[in-house]
Amino acid sequence: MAERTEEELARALKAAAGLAPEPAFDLTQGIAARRRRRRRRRLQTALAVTGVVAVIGTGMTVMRGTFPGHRDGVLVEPAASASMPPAVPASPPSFPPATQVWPEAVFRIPARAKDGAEYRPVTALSARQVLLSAESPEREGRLEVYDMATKTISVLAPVPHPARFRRYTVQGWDVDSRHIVWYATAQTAEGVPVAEFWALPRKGGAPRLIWVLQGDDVEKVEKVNVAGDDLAWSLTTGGVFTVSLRGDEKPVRVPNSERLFLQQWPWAGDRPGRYVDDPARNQSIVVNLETGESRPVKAGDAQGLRCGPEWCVGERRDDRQLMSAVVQRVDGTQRREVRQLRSFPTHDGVVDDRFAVLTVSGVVGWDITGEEVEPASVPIAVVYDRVTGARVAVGARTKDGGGSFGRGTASAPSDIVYWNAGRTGGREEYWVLNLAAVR
Amino acid sequence: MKEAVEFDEFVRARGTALYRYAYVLTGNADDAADLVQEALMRLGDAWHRVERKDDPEGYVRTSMARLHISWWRRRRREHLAAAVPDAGYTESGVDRIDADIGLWKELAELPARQRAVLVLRYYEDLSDGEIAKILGISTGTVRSQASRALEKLRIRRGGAALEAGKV
Repeated sequence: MAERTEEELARALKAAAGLAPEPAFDLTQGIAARRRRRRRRRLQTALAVTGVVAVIGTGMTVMRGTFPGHRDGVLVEPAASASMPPAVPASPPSFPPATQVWPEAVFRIPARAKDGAEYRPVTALSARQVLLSAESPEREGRLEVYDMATKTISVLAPVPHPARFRRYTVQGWDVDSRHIVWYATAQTAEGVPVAEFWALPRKGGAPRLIWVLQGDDVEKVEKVNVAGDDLAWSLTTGGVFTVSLRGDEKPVRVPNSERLFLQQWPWAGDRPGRYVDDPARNQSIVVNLETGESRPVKAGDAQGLRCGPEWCVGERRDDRQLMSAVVQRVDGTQRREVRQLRSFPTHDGVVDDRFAVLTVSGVVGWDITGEEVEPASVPIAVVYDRVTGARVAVGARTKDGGGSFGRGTASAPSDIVYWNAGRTGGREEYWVLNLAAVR
Repeated sequence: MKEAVEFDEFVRARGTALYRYAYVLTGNADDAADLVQEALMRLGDAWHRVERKDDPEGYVRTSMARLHISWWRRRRREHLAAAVPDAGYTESGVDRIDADIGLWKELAELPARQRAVLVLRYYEDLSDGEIAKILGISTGTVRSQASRALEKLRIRRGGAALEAGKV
């Protein structure tokens, strides 16, 4: 088929907006009705938590695209007594918070530095130290280190922001015992996209520009790793490249890496960890890019498996037709099924051969409008510890039922999970969980 | 009381435009109605704060884009789709634009985030940096999502391809 142009796309979108079917409802009334339903849902949720109400039954007429105009302005009531087998657990799961289970690994940091730069945790440098990136739009950034023992933050190095670029954004990091590397995307004054790769001695010092990438690959860079004396990156379309950290050679593509994605150097797999179109597809091999060793993944009935050299995490549909997370070895052995939890659609795999960051199937039923009822007591995410079996709540919930948490911005599976901690003394803070510090 | 009146006035004045925006974001009338009402309800809750500090229109458009792509919402829909037969909606209005109907249908196949990026870029005419801020993702992700979506829709991109090398 002939190629289309961006102008055709813009025109199609604008035309569609102009021809949208007339709304069959009064917006003001619709919003008011929605607010009433939300109050009811909260009430039901509260009841469900205490176990009084389990799941709304078959008598219910579930409405999709909920607004009363479509049903003569009358909310459809559920039948009182009918019941069908719950499609979801009848009681919400509960998990102890990280602050309680792993107090040695959790701490608070300010969300912003004194100069207003925003902190983003990157990864653990050790059980005691965490790498932070302090970022301000269009300004030079800083790498800083939080010391959990002394509770202090110190500056490690500047993160340059060359003035000739616009929209300069650091996208990913990696750390090994000798180096810290990162890449940033930007545009030249003429609007040409570029990606810069930088390196810094682990102990600090002056960052050194290793390579500047231009062309189609700029937008496809997905990960950066330290690879011994080289820096490595992989693309969202597959392919791993290395360039000497000395900065005096051109990058080369790693042989036979065309369909591979970095996991953590030297290990790569045949599925990307991020930007995944088909999250359910399993990774099928783990490859050592230095030795060429290839380990097949035995997925069995699992889906969405993502594997490092030893361990995989994914999920499977169990005998009750519920999705449960699974953690297993690459060869399929030592599988643990983690009920009430699922894997996120895009994820990095198992952290430190031990932890998996999972999401909660906390839905206890549907309300009369077809909205899922999910108690706010259910955490937004849970860290599963393969070694102890602990399932630990992380993340911040908001009053409206939403919530958030962040992962460290390192390219390799980050030891860091963080979330909003509210305000202390007028300043916003984050809770930070350093998985490297869990005993 | 004054606030409630102001909010209602805002809904009356901007409701249709916001509904159209929701329609372009979601691709169908049911989801558009759902989205615009949810976003406006949240705006109503925050009206006092938003109206004083920011522009309500920007607030509600941002919250619509975010709501649309939040993945747990999509998962919720999958749950619902299993339980509820879809009413089967006919896009009679859109059927009239013959030249664009193919493209409109293919847009429906895109993942929510990719679609949102395209709508923000080509319908809202926003820069990649602004889109990144709205969706809470990096500009690199905005670009990679846009380029994947354009590739799927077989849309040729402006600008010259460059060889890798030092600037």
